[in-house]
Amino acid sequence: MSFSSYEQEFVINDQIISGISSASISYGSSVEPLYLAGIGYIDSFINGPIEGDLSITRYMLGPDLLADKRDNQDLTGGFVLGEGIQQAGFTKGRVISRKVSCNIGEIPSIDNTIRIYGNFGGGIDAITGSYNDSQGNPITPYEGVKVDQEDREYIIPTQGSIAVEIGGNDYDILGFAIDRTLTVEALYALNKEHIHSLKNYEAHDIQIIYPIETKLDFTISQEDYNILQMRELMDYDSIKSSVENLNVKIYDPQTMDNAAPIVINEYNIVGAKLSSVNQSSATEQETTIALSFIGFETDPRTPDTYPIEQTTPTPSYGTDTEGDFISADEQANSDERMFGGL
Amino acid sequence: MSEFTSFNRCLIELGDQQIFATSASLNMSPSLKRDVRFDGFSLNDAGATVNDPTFVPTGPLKGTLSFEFVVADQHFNPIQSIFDISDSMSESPITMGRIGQYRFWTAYLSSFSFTMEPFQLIRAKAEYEIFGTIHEIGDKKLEEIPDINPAESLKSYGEIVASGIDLQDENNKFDLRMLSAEYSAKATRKTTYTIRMNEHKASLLSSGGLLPYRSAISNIEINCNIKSNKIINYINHMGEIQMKNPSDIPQNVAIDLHLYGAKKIDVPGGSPERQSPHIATFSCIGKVMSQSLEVSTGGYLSGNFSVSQVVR
Repeated sequence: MSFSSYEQEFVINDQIISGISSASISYGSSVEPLYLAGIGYIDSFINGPIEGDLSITRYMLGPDLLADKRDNQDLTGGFVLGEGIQQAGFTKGRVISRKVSCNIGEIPSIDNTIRIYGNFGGGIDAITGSYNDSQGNPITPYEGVKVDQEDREYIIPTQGSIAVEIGGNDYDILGFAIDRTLTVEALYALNKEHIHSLKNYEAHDIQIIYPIETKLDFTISQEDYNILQMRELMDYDSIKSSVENLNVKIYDPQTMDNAAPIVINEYNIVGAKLSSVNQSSATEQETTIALSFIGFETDPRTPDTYPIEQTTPTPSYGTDTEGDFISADEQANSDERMFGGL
Repeated sequence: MSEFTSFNRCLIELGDQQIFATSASLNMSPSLKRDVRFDGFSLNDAGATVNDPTFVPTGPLKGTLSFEFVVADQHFNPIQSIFDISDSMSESPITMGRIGQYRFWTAYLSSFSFTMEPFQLIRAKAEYEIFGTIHEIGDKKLEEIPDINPAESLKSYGEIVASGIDLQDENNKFDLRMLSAEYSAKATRKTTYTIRMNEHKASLLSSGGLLPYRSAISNIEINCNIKSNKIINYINHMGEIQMKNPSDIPQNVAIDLHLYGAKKIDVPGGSPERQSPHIATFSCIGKVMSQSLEVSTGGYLSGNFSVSQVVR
């Protein structure tokens, strides 16, 4: 049996990801041949972890299904063929890249990369849950996730339905591109549990290397923009005031006449600094300004260098803000305290 | 046949063992010093005369042999004497060996070491002192390729115990994770020669005549360097772990490194039926000699500690 590209469905945490225009999975490891003196080639052995990247490009159909997945959240998923006849799943993955491109008159697109750290392939279920129908009778996992899938529609932004929020004020923009990519490092240790099988080994720890850099490029009409004195931003006297949390919002165009338009998706840039401004004017075209911001998210468990008044909900892809530091009570009873602060 | 010997044809042997070497080197040199001495008196020059300057030997023909190799079942289960540095190790030399078409003689093991880190085969290094000359001999071809199952780091593991506490147990306050391990054992020898033997006329007739009478093992030390997420807590001035509870008697730190083969083999009646074979276990029970912590931009805090054991 062969499957056309129209028969594939991608699943992340038992949610069918809709609107996919292209997807690719690379998965593998590097192999090193062993040569011995007097013999030559003996065999080849792996010399690195087996990891993969699942890259998905999709049209934005309503709320972003991966937006609520935290940076340090382990995901399961994979792809399903022929309405669940075949599945190829992965046991542990993390979203390491989120890119969104949105312009007036175009369907917004989202690019995600999920780094696969665990096992992947046939025989591993992409859908991990068990499901029942409305009468409580068991149904197939595929039917279960299909039932849960809500109807989703294309949204084409119109003039005024994309806005950037700066300092509590919304500014209409013509389009934006946001890129938030994590640098992660997987740590592997010499653990006993691997003796008889390397099939199911996973990274012992996956650390996010902070800060997380988010790049936001957006275009705004000249009439909505006050030209900045760029050099002021380079002055260290204004270094605190030149850092801002930004929110980019995509509203439902059909609700723009409402008193409170519905926000379909919202993306936050934490601690953003303006990095460049580009004005362009051409005959028969609107004069526009392209601005680039770069934001740096620090580890939520460490204090910010330049604490910003939280006018916007941040961070957008919340890592565990409480962290795993010991509590005040634990600290009071710690050995350090018992030894008199030694 | 080429006049040059390729790596694939360069068989390395020590005693009756073929070494699964990935590299090897041998160097040797006589011990010579410049000999200039007064040997007369010249009336014409009204001064002392000296001999024609030359080099004279001050010791035997001596060298070192080292090779890096993969740890495999054939040599370590049980450990062959050519790699064994322990309290019961032999003082006797390995009488001969081969690198390609060169034969060397009288080798004494002086050090053995290996490294474990995830996703790498366990590669070991052995060093020998060799005495005597070198002979070029004929080429040698293996009758059959040995079935080699090299030890692999991720299948292998280490255990660290101190004062009865498993330092890797995540339920106690240590929760140490071993990122890599280096094991090394070193035997220091005292080599003696007899005057009578080495002054015998035979030394004039044979290039390989001057050999040590005895190479006594004077001391043996084992050292283990561990890279991990943590270093040793509660260390005292003796290099031991001393917990705050007075009932805990300070003890040495014991490290066991268990080496397992990369490939599974059939184990009749075993569970599972195919298992990676246990190849060897190396231990180091001693004092914490040093430890350090380091962290840098974009990285994580990692520690190194070194445990040493005096065997002899």
